[in-house]
Amino acid sequence: MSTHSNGMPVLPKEAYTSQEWFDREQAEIFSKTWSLAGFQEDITEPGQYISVQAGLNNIFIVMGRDHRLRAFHNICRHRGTQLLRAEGKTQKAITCPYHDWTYDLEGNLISVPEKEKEFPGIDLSCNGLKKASVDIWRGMLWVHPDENAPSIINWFGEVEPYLAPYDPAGLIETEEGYSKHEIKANWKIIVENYIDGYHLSHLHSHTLNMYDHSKIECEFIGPHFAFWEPLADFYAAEVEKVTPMPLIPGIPKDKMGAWVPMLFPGIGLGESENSWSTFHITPIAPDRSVVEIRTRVANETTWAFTKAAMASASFWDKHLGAKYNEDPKADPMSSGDFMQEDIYACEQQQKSLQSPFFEHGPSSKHGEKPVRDHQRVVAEWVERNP
Amino acid sequence: MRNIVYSLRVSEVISETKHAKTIRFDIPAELKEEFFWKPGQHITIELDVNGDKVRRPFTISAAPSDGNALQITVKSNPDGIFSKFLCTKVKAGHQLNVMPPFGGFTLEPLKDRQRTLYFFAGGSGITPAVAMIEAALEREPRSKLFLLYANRTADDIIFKEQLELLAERFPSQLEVRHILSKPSLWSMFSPWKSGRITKDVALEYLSECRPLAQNTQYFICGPGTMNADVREALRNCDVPTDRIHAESFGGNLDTPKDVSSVPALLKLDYYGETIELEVAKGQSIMNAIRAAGLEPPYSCQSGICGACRAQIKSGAVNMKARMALEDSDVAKGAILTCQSYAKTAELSISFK
Repeated sequence: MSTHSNGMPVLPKEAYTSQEWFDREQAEIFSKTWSLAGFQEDITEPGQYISVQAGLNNIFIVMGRDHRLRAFHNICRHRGTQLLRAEGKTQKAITCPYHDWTYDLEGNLISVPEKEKEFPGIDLSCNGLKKASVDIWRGMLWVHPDENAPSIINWFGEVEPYLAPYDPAGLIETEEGYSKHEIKANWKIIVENYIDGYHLSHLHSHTLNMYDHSKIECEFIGPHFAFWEPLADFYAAEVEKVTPMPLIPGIPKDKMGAWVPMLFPGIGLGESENSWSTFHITPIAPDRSVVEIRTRVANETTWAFTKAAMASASFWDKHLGAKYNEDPKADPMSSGDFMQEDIYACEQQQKSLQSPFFEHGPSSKHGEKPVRDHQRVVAEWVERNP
Repeated sequence: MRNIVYSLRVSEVISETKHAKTIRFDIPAELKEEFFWKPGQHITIELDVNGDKVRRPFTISAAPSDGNALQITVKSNPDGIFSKFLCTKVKAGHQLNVMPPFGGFTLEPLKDRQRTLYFFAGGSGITPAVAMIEAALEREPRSKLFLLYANRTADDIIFKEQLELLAERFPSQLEVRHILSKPSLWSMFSPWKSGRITKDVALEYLSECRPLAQNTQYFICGPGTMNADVREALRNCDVPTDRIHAESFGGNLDTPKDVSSVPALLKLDYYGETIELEVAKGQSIMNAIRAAGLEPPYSCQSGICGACRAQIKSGAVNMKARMALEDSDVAKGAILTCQSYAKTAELSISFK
């Protein structure tokens, strides 16, 4: 591990390219922390379940008839077959497709076909499903592979005062706010882009200019990154009139802006004056990641949304645009979409890491300090169990 | 539990309803530690009734927080000499004989956890619930609390105002619902429902009051029939038994009047001392021990409080009532000596 002084990156190039680094991160980071599993409203009825990958663990969450959520490792205790796929609804029991071993919603093994003949003397009670933990925080479902996981309140507690002063559970999800992107870049490159304050007024000069990047307040709170910036003056002056969507209630006028934390590991939130979204990065390979974005907005009528969009259209035509004026279909920099701008930057960076001539350049004192801080957090976690 | 009785001064007596009074005690500084309590625990009061020492447990009806006095809330029972005496005769300044707080029906607040805590209370069963609710609101700020409280009429609701104030102070945390079996037509008070807490009512309640995530606990404190019905409802929706905690309050308990027994030789490990004594047919283990001149701890003499709990090492007993023990305790050999009768001719038990 290189010990660069302030101003130089902390992690070596291999951290972004090698399978060995990827495997260590999967084992030491993604298998030992709380993972985002979905939104609270994804499971509302007894028997309903979802399964999620949390590092090396596939975990399913199911709601029992007492409306309590339980989480188990999605592994049959017989030969290890995956029990439940993706999402769905089961009745009172979970049956493995391979040999029909059956478990109740408490994870107890309740039936083994031809038990007397094939498994004489088997003690069913020793073969219950392995338990995991599930909890709810900020309207989101979280899982942890450990049955006795550390409290989620302690894990996120310290960063909570730096988040938006409204309850995301009171908002509603919009279909338009959903997107999934497969990005040809290491997950840390995407995180670093997300927390880099230096690029905002450059790469996104025409797409994120509704916020005032000169007034950013940000810092790492434990392993999590907290970020806030106010609305730009031109927007703040008439925000009630020109917000493109109804404002989310509960934000004091002087705090109107964007809270954009990056929770560890790789779970970004975009909490703004009119929308709330999750930016969930899942590493797939050293040079490949998936980002899934889900969005909630104020619980208002369709008419309120139409009205806000119509009333603000001409205002935003004037203030937003693209960085370059080439063909928007061929050039992401001309798309006028900040997400496309970011993906382009991340993928280009990953590509350059393959070049024999690549060398890490100096890193900016203020705007890119979070990038170095995040690298330190990652280094600390992967070195915990050498 | 130690078998020591202290004389405590009554500092205040407050009328809660027409039939219920709260009695507060002064705890001298040197007894503060001895009388520290966990929410849900009770104290035992000893009275002299016609020359006999009679003991009864009473739940402490306040959380053990700063500024809270140790208090019990007693509902006068027309047939009960004990509760009648406490409700009518005891005044501020009187001395009462009291044994220190005790009991395993407790709630320990966990500051860094978010839980959903359900309380099913009937009548005077509100006493442990209110102590637990106060403590959890104060020290478990992330948790959500649901109270379903059953009474005869609105006038019988103990702590009505206090519960209203708590719900106002902690609107996102505490939700109180009332159910009345004989609601008055003239009352301004409108309960969630009329009737009793039956299995179906409990199921309906549970489906309306949904838990947050996975950490739920259920506390049931009412008459035996209500407790059995709520347990049945919880079992019906697969609540694991280790999340259910119950204590009986008032009403008829469904316990056998007599259990079979045999004369037995009892080998007793009494706090490290070994004593052998005989137990007669039809004599409880507790009575045999006391007849031998020993003073083991005991309190309610009805299987509710758990003060006389001991551990069985060999042999077996029949128990009349055992509300103070969970099934898992019994499986591990715990017995209530005042409710136990010898089932085998040789027995070995220990007190610790």
